[in-house]
Amino acid sequence: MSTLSEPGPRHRVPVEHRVLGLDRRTFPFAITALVVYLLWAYLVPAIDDAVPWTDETRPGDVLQVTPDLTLVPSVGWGVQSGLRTTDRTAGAAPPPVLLTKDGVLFRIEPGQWNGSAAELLAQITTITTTTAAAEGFHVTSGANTFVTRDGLTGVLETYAAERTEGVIAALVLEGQGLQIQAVGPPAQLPGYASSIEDMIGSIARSGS
Amino acid sequence: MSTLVSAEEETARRADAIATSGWGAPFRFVQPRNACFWVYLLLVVTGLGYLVPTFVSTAGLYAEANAAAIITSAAFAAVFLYFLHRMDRWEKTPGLLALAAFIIGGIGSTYAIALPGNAAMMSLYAKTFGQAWAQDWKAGLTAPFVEESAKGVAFLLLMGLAPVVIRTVYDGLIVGAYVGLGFQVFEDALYGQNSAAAHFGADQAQSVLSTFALRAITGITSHALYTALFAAGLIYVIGTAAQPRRSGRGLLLMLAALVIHGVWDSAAALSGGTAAVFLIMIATSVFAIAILVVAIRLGGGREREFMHAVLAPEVTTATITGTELAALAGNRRDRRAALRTRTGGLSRRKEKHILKAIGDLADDLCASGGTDTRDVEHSRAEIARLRTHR
Repeated sequence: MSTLSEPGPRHRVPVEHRVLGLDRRTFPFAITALVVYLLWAYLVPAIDDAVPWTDETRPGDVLQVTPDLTLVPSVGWGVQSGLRTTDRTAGAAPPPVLLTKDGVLFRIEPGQWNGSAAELLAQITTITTTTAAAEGFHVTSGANTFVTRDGLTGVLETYAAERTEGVIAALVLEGQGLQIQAVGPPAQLPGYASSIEDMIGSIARSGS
Repeated sequence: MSTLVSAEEETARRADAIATSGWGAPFRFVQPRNACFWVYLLLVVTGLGYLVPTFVSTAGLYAEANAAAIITSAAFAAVFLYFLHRMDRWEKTPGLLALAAFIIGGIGSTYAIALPGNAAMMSLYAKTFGQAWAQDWKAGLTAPFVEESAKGVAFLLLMGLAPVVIRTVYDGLIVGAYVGLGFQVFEDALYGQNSAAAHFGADQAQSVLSTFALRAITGITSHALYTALFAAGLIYVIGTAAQPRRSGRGLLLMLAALVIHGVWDSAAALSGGTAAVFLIMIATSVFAIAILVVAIRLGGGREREFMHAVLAPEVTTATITGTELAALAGNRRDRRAALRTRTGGLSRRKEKHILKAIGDLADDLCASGGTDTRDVEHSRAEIARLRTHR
């Protein structure tokens, strides 16, 4: 590359270096960049897609939702994100919980929230209506109250989109809000309704 | 006669230094016959394909967060740009090249390469080693490889687009820093929006400002520094007309960038979640700055040789003094010596102006290829004017 000069727009590439009108002396850097791009943007994600998740919830598992809240998952769900209470890590905050089974996703995302659970649900609905408008997201039932077995009170609503149905629930405890969402194909979701209900109902204060 | 021969030799050395260093060479971005140009466009357009929909679809929801992110990122970038401008003391990087570096670092490297690569690698770690292990180590064992290679190839494309302008280790440090700064600023904007989303869209400005404060405090050990080291290492490994290949030194610099990035991202895991995390971060920062200083000194040697060759004939023709030449082609000590030993009753302030004017003369000489153009003559006249007007 050291002998390469910077050609102007009307510069003609010397014939011995010309390939399809391009200067082949510029190929080594261009191809290296292209290879690295294809590696990280396509090859590694394809490998990731090909490797299955093998971590399934077992009887007795308890997941850490936040440092103060836990969840008892139904048995046999795949753990794509989330820590068990028996896991030891250096970080203080656990990652969001994401469980899957037969195309149904169950996700809990915590965040700071100073309002009520109903206000949080309204905010989540506003955000989702905007971000998922293209998928035809719309709420199919009004907000209903639920109470977990530990006595925590939240609100939930159901929704539908073009290819999916789901439940969004909100729960607030001492300035900490939880966005709980279960989503899946209309044919699959009803079969897991009781599991989802159990898991939402199992959310409890740590040590309860 | 010997003086005449010496003057000819000096002029030949000047011409050789200008040709070898590439100083004064212009940068042209649009090069349809250069394959690097098309790959550059591919990466930036692909990055925009992710960036634009992401921000447009949530523009109304996160307007406050986006505005705060843009303002804080611009403030962070302005400080760093000033620092880079000051550091770029030999031959100023063309503005268009700096902009091209900032854009591909910010849009191409971040959104086209690093975002999908990071996500896939972190997912693979969780699948292979479990959630707890991944929680601690996935960032530190992903970001250095994905992000440094993403920014590294952005720098390679710029080398392919500007093979005459980017020739020295110092060029690698500066242009690499621009690539890294772009990455940092655009990544911060994304983090700002994520931060607002993590608060369910409430207290958006406060969420972004908290993220910005943390990133600004820890900004010294940032992508600009990592990429400066990595790109300087690439120049050594590849070798150019101005910098003979020194693979060992280059690989060490690239490895240093990876290690600093990795340790920084793994600080919490390495500390075991204790307060030692702060010690690790401070030690990493000190180490990073030390390596940067070493790289600047290593790179500066070649630049000094070029500057000396470019300006030496001006001493022979008495346009500048030997001490002033030493100041321009030397280090801070030489510059202080020039200010201290100024002659002809010049004030310290006037001598500073003269040194700056000599820098302008060097720029004009490089742009003219060493010939006496009107710009060169004007710069010489300016130096003479500064000496006489007290």
